[in-house]
Amino acid sequence: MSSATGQAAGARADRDDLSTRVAGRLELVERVLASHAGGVQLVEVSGDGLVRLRFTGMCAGCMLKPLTMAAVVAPALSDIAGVTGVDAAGTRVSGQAHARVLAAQAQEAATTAGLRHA
Amino acid sequence: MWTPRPHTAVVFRAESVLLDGIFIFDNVIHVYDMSDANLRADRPDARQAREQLLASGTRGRSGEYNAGLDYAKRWSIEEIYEMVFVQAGTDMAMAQVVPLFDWYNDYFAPVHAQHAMAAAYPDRVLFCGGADPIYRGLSDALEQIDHQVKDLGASSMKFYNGHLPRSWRCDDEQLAYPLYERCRTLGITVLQFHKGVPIGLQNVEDLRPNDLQAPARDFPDLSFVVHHLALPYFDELVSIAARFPNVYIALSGILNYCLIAPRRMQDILGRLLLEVGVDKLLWGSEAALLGSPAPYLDAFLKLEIPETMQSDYGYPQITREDRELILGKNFARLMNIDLDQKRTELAAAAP
Repeated sequence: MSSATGQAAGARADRDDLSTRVAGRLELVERVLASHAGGVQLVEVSGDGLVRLRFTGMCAGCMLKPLTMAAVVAPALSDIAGVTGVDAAGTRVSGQAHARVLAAQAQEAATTAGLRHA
Repeated sequence: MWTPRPHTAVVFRAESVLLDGIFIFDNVIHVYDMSDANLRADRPDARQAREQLLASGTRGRSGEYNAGLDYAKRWSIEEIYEMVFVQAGTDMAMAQVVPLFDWYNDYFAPVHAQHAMAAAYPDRVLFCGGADPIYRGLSDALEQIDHQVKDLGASSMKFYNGHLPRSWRCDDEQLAYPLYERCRTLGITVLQFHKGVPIGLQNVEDLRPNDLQAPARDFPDLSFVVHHLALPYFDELVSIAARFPNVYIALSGILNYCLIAPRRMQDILGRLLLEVGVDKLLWGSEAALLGSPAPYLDAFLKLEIPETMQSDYGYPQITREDRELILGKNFARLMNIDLDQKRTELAAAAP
């Protein structure tokens, strides 16, 4: 096996491994979304670690997909080593909207932490 | 009252459009026959329907080149080539039959004319056939599909279900499903539907997109392309295209309104990017009816979502990647065309 061939095989193995880990985490996410009769499928994990998803069930046509993505799906996948981004059709919002969602999440996290310590 | 715009010396040509290396694959052009000779003598409403269509084209057209053309005629393939490929710098296009027989002897975008366009420019033009199950019956429509695919090389099929005095439904299991099954048997996986925007005085609700949901469910291996945003049923279309992975939206003739009503286009495109996703959107010019695509391409390439709409509606900005996908990559993916290879082929064939 040449050096280049070996590197390509290694990269493929890394990507397969990453896909397996992402798929495993998605099973957990699916259980959460199933409570709303929704779901999410893995479309692909690109060579540079971008995870592409597709919402299914009730999530597919829901206007709140961007919130579900920001609050549930993306956080669950983003901390997997090798994931550089998470994307799904119909969840791309403006920078302003994204910032508002993140701010709301941070506020909620702070409130929850405060309640725990109260 | 429509006031003609002030005369300018600008004539749009390929080099004046800021295509910037983007591959333009026009989902829908038509070699129309809107001549008097093609109007049905047995339909007293034929001329009125033709004039209504021509008037809608006049309202939507822009550019000096476009303003000087006569549209109530049988277009030649050379004229369409000049308009689409020379004037506008388009790389590839699909010539689509419009199987609208109500007022025309030979459809108003006839089979032979679309096929002739593809045959004359095989490296740049794909042929999309068309058939209708109530024109001469289902058996004839199935024979037409066979003929157009096997003998004429159709790579897609177009349907128009709104008619006078009666329409058919796209979810009719006796009338419509056999068409889709025949397409599938022949390897045709991209089916296209004129929805909304009636050409004539048909019931507008007959052209609602809602009857594509059952076929999209029942034929998950086929792709359903919905044209004209199904206007005025845009909300329904957004819901359908967002939920069904095999439903796509052709912006046929719609981007032309970038020039007339840019804020409305920002709203439409912003909502599609937000709720449906850019991968589902296809550029379609509707040339020749709306003239050369050049000014509309130019306007779309400059169109941006303003800060206020990003903030107030959450619409994402239109990126270069979005423009590349909408203008060519998405349709190339649907039609299994390798754009890198196609670019090389076209460059090698260039004089």
